[in-house]
Amino acid sequence: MFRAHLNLYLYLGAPSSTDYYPTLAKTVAELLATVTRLDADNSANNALNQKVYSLENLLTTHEAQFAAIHPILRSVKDLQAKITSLEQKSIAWPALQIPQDPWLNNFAMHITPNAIPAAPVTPDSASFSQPLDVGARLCTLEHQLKSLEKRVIGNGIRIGRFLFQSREDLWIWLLANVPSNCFGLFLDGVSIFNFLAQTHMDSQENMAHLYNSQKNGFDTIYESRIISFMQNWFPNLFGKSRSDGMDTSKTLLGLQSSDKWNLEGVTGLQLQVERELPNVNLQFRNAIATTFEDSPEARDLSLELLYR
Amino acid sequence: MQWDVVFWKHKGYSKQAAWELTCLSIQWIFEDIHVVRVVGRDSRDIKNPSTTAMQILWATLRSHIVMEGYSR
Repeated sequence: MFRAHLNLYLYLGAPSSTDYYPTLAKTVAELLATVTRLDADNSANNALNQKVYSLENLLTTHEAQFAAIHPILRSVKDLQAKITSLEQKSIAWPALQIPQDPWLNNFAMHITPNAIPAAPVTPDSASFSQPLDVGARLCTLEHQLKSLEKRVIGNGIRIGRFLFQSREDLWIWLLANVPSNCFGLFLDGVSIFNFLAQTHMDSQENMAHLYNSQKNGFDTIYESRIISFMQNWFPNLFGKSRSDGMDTSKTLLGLQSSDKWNLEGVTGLQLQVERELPNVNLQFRNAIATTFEDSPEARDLSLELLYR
Repeated sequence: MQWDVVFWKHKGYSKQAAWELTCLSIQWIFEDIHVVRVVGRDSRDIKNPSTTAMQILWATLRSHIVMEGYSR
């Protein structure tokens, strides 16, 4: 609109005086140039605005897409890290400098028959660079190692999950896990039978037991009793053997006839044992829980022996 | 023990004979246990109580192995 008025003004040539014309024409030309430049700027601005709008739309779209694939990207990143770690492990295997061991060679032949090397397995063998192969070998190796550890050698003893290959092995376990060498709570059948046969005990005798137990350096009275039980062949429950020679009787000394053991399910030693059994059970459960409160290994073994 | 008495009586033994055979079985079992428990007899080391504990515990564990053999 401004340009149209200006063109009309120039067409009409309003100032007739020739003095003002050049100045006016110059001014008008400058104005025209300014207007043209402004028009160009405006057009450029509009184009830029359009581009900014389109860019904003693009960013919004990409943000939505990124939000959708973000968890997938994280998973991919984790997987890449794991793969890298596995690759490093497979690469690090030859660095172990495994000596040429015939057992390992047999082991390799046993595990991966397809990967049997013509020559003995060497650290730089190509088969070590396969992660899955190494994983399978490691699993089997661990399994074989556990089998070897569980194998009882010679006079070794396995009770539940406990394995003692020798007395020295047991000694080490004892020093590490049993507080104050408290062995009185580890029972066998003979000891349990002896504890079942508790008879009347005078207070003086009981105090003498306690005194002697303390004097001998035992923490509990169970140790002194277990040691005394070790002296006898049979549990006190079945009678006491004579001290003047070997026993020649045909029956157990305390049970001369079967009626003393069980008289038609009404009376007898068997019923007394069955009645006393829950009490001894409670007694030892309580003693074990108290004495081995901070020694779970000792507690587990003593309970294993109690309920075996 | 009661089942053993019944077993021997079913075999034709008298009540007392059945009981004697049962007692004989019990004696054998305890004799076998005594063989391994004997290492704990008279074991007392005043200077080293852990040795005593080890001996007694070893005898106890061996006793369990014998008992396990009978329970199979």
